[in-house]
Amino acid sequence: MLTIKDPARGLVGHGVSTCAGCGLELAIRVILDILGEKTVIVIPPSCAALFSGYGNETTLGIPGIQGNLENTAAVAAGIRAGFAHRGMTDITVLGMAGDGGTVDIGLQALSGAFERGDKILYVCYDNEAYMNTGIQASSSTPLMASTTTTPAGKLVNRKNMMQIVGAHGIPYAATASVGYIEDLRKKVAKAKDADGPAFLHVHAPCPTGWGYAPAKTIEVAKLAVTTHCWNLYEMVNGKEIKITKQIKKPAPVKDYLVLQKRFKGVTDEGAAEIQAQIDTEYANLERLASLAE
Amino acid sequence: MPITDSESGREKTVLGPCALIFSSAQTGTWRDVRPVVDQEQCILCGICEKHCPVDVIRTGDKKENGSLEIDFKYCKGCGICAEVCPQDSIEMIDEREVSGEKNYA
Amino acid sequence: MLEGNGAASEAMRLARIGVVSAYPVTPQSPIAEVLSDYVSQGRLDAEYVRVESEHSAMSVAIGAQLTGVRTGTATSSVGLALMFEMLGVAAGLRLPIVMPVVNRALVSPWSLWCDHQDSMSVRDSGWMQFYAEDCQEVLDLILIAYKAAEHADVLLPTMVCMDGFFLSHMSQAVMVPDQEDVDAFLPFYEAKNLKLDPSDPMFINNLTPSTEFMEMRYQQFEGFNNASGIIKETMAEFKNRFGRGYQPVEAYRCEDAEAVIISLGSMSGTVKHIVDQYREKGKKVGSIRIVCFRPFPTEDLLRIVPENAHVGVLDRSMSLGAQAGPVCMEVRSALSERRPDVRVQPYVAGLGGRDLRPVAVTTAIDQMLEGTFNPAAQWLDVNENAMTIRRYTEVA
Repeated sequence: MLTIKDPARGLVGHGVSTCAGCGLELAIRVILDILGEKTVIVIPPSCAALFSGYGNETTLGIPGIQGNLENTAAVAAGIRAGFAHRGMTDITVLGMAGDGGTVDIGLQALSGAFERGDKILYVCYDNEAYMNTGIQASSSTPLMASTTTTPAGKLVNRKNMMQIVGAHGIPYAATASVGYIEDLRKKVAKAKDADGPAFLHVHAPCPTGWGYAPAKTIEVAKLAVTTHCWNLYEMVNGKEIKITKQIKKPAPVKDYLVLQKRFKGVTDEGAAEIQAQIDTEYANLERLASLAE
Repeated sequence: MPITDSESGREKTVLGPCALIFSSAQTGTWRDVRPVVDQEQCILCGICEKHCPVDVIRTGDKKENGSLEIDFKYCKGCGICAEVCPQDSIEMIDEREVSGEKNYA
Repeated sequence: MLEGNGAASEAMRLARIGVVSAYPVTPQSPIAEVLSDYVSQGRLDAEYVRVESEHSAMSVAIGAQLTGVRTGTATSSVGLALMFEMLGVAAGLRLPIVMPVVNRALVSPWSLWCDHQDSMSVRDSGWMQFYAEDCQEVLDLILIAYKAAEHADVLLPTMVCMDGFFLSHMSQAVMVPDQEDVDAFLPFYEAKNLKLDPSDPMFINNLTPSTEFMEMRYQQFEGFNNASGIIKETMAEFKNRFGRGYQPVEAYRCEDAEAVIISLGSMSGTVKHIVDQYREKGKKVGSIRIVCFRPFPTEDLLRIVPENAHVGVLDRSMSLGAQAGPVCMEVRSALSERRPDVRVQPYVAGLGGRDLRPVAVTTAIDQMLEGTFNPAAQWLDVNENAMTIRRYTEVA
């Protein structure tokens, strides 16, 4: 039985050693608030491991296990299978991994679990690089972003994870953002009730890694959406795509870039290239969404 | 569901790595700026509370003449609350300007 | 009649495993196939998780076992190598997962066939290791392994190793016990230690400070110390119930022996046959088989090795860069100091599917009887052209 040293309002303690203004910290609170105490969490070594705690202390009031970087989905699938064998079907098994643990090294285990239809809820909180190890680029790092392993800016575009997830035809997948909390809450609730695997790709800006003031996390998150750099949509059964936040008049991508030091080296031509890339991706998304109508 | 007190249970030893104490770091000690609320101007809309990553803001009830309360034991001073406030009623001030003692709690 | 793989599947069915996660790898694949067949026929009430890799097979087993369910998986060779990272997690979390390992060489060179390099490479991963000599032993040792591993004073995962093809694909008469008797021997599984339970939350496997890390390792060390006795008790209980007796280390015609061969697994059958031939000629030769390699049965070995004997250890793997293979180093370490009368000669044999031909064993025994000794490993039955087996004309 957990000994309660410092009471908290929800399932997450208030003093967690994530950076000030951490997007992930906001996301995990919202997610666990919706999922409730009948949840078991799997966390890889990552920024999220700061919630696992240290030694005999944890900041999570639900059962959890810290797995390894590449197997969040597999450990979650095992927990699900164990509970299924015991007839405990009312427990949400949540995997909560970053972009590196999902889009890079965790992709194989994730694909396996989704193909098998294991009923797990997998959240990828995307801060667009390996932040916990010191801001190294992942395959979710956007084009031209500077990281400690792409100091001159990333030369290639990010991986489209939602398309990969969509290829598995799972019942529910969605993108979300800490800039749109109500939208995130709704999607967590839908993911919880999905009849099979569910995937949430949550944009979680990182003041430390992206180079902006901690106070700007929500502004940066919102700008990512209003510039089409991060689009909010749902994908049902891998094909029925619905854009959940339509931006009537998108702001230029440059508005988003200038707020962040990681894009400091991007020239006007570079910004135009990113704009073209973003426009193409959004046109693609709209086309796919129109097919579902 | 809030995490509050433990009920009594059976004493037991477990082997291997695990955490059995629900606790928090005193993240209030990190703060170099702190949010100060203009309670007159605040309309208790709850937007700051919703966006606080540390979840330390409590929005009082308008009908009961409530106010906006911040738990400084854990507030890291990130400033998101001041940034998202539609009324501009939260100001971030230098922690050293706060009266006398280092008031974390 | 059952093959070694079939005996393993039967044992796991009888142990009532609740979650199966396995990935195909030669020569282990029939275990995964038979278990999935049992599940689909309803002969085994289990969730079958058709994982996409061995890494996930072990990850699933760990997750499932933490919910309080007995699990089963099996692997070989490169599959075991891919699991390596998770072997340490299962051990550190004190999960008594039992896994048949069908021994096969590690790449490179590629080989589908038997040697012990796979399981020997993970001998320090915190798993107990048993090596079976025949198909009956595969079944029996798996049941013994579950029981001993789950003992509250042990809580260690266990590999039950069988030689690839030599055992895994060889049919032998195997006594399959009744479910009722197995249920009485091996009770319903409960998570006695770490567990994932929403009504009693704990966070498992978070970062451990250096002020506690050594203590956690020491707990495992103590688990192995306890295991030595508990394995013997479990083997005795097994004999009472099922009539077949085992020991962590078995001596064969060792009394007064001047030369003794130590081996593991299916090699021991060949060795014992040759020992009989020498005995018929009046030569004082014996055989020792190590059944339980982890924990290593040091005390038993000290007692069994005859006085002033020349001991030759047949390693079916090599610790490259060392003087000897892993089994020999273990034997030397056990006998050094306390048995200065004994000389331990390292031999390497039977790698990558090479049969242990009688000539390999007789060469070793003859050397020992002659009193020849070389502290470095002698490779038995290696072709003389070893260094020149590939020759070609390079383009100028």
